[in-house]
Amino acid sequence: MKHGWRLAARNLGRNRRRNLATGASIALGFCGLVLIGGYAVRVERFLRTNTVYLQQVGHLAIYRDGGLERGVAQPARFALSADDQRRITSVLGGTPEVELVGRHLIGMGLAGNGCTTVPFSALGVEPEVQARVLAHPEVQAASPELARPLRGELLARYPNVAGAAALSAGLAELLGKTRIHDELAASPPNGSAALAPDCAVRTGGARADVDANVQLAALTWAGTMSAVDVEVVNLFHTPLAETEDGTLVTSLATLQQLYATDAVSYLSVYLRDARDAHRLAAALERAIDAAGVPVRVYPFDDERVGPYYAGTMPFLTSLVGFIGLLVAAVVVLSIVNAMTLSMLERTRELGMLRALGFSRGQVLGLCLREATLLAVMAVGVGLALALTIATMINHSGARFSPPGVPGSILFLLTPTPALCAALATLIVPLAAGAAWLAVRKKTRASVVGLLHEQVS
Amino acid sequence: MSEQPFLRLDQVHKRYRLGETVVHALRGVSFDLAQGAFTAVVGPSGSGKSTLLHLVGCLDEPDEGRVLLQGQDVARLSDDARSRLRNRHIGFIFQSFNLVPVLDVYENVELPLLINPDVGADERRERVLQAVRDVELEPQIHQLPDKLSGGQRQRVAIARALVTHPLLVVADEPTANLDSATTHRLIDLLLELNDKRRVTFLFSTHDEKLMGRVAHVLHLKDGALPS
Repeated sequence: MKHGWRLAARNLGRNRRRNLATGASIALGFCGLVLIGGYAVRVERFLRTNTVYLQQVGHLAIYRDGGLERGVAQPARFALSADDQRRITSVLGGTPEVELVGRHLIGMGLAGNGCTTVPFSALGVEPEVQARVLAHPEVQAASPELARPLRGELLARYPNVAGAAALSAGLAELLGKTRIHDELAASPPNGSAALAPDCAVRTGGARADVDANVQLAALTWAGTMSAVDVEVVNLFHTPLAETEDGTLVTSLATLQQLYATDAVSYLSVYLRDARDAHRLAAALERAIDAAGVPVRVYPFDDERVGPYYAGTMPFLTSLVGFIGLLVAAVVVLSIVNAMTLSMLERTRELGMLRALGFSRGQVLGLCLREATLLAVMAVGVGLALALTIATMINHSGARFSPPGVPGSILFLLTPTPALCAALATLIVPLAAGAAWLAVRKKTRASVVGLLHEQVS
Repeated sequence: MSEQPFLRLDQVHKRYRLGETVVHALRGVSFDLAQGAFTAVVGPSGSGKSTLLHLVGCLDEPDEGRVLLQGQDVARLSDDARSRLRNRHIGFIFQSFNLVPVLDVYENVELPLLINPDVGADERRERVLQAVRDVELEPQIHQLPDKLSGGQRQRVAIARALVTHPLLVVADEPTANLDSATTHRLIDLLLELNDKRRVTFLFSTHDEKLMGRVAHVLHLKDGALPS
């Protein structure tokens, strides 16, 4: 009954103050949900980007079966050989959902500056792939600060620098490597200071900054001693604070030279759509197994490869869900209260409508239209309010430090169209449901009872 | 073979529970009404007039006995079917007008037609305008009820009752809230419509002047029609 909407709209004008208050509570509730939802979307994107792109886990991480658990202790046994890599790449090449594949070698050892040595954990990357990954639009949208080196440029910009490497800011400080390749080239140290570091100066390795060279020493996978020189071309913040004092990133070739191998620890697979991760993980695992390489494929939200993401999201989801429930309860109570009062005032009118031939369903429909219309208008106002607030916050430049992440990131709210649409499709039926709760008893009453009910 | 009356009440009983007390509102009421009758139900307060009108208007069901409208026992109909019957064939005029305050005269009169899918938009408009003309409210057609006098409001209610072209109009004390002059004009109007359209009118009243102008009067006392 299309005229029902007209009648509903007119009825909303009856008790304007009450309907305004109810509409305001729905609008504010919706606004709150959009903002907190926007915050949750922002944090989820940040965590996902952090795990997938910055830690270079990929949407999928492919390890030889057992490699994730025992690859560090027995790398020669659980790494992916050059032949394994070719077979896996062949399977991935036939998977249209795959956007990019990276090869990675993980290793540990000691880093020295000629005076002191400190342990490091190294990640070998393909510089061109790393540059593409860090330039990905998702990274630029969610974590541009962490994708950029603190100083210097990405490894791919130094194809002619042998052993180009990036140090985490904490490791660089421990080694006294406070000046990087570009800075030393632009302003070389004078005189004898340039020849060798002065080990007599102990405070913070202050004189180790005469060059950007670091010596890496480690046992090869065959068990012999090995060492390579690397040149520090950039300093960066790691995605996690706990790895800030010992992380080094260099080219895959440099690290393979250090460990005397052509194998890699894992392959990171970047998908065009993160939502395909779980479906593809199982399918790729079967396909690669069938190609003769026993592997395990881990999606990025698996706690074994993305513990930070997997550990934080349930907490965030439950927190946002709880707040959402509180807001929904306020909305429901507001609607129930307003509709109950409205029905009390209009009991005789409901009886009159029934006497004129309106069925119970039609009378109920009229009341639900009123609540729906009020909710739709309130959602519109709430949405406008939320988008205004989000825009103001996003342009304010406010920053915050997420727990466990070195440095700070922009405080952004991301109320996506999908989020707003999902919340609207939740709130409007919720309002209609609340109205149904309030009026169903009235519509079930006898016509005579409605016509003669005394309204105090 | 006797002809089926338009409306027949056959040994109708109705009881209400008021707390611990059971009120026997109607006690075996029986009567027939012919199509086009103009009938008043009179009696003191509490005699069962409103209850009788509710049953005749299919707003309620008898505890015992039958209400037959054109031979159909209305108690056997589902709630939705009774709603359709009221909408298509029965008009109501209430003592307190019961107009929707946010709708103007045109929209109040149009209301019962909005739920009748057999009446298209053009016909609906025609009927509403005719009904408004019949009750001489054309100048006020776009006014809200709160801008109208009591008599004008009751005329809106009459137009609303007649716009569906009902077979029966039930009116509960339709002149109770009106002054004497307005009451007479209203009765003239009802009689004219009854005469022109052969609509059956059944209404309750306390008004002696009104009773004097009605050919057929049912006297209710303690829920019964004394013979």
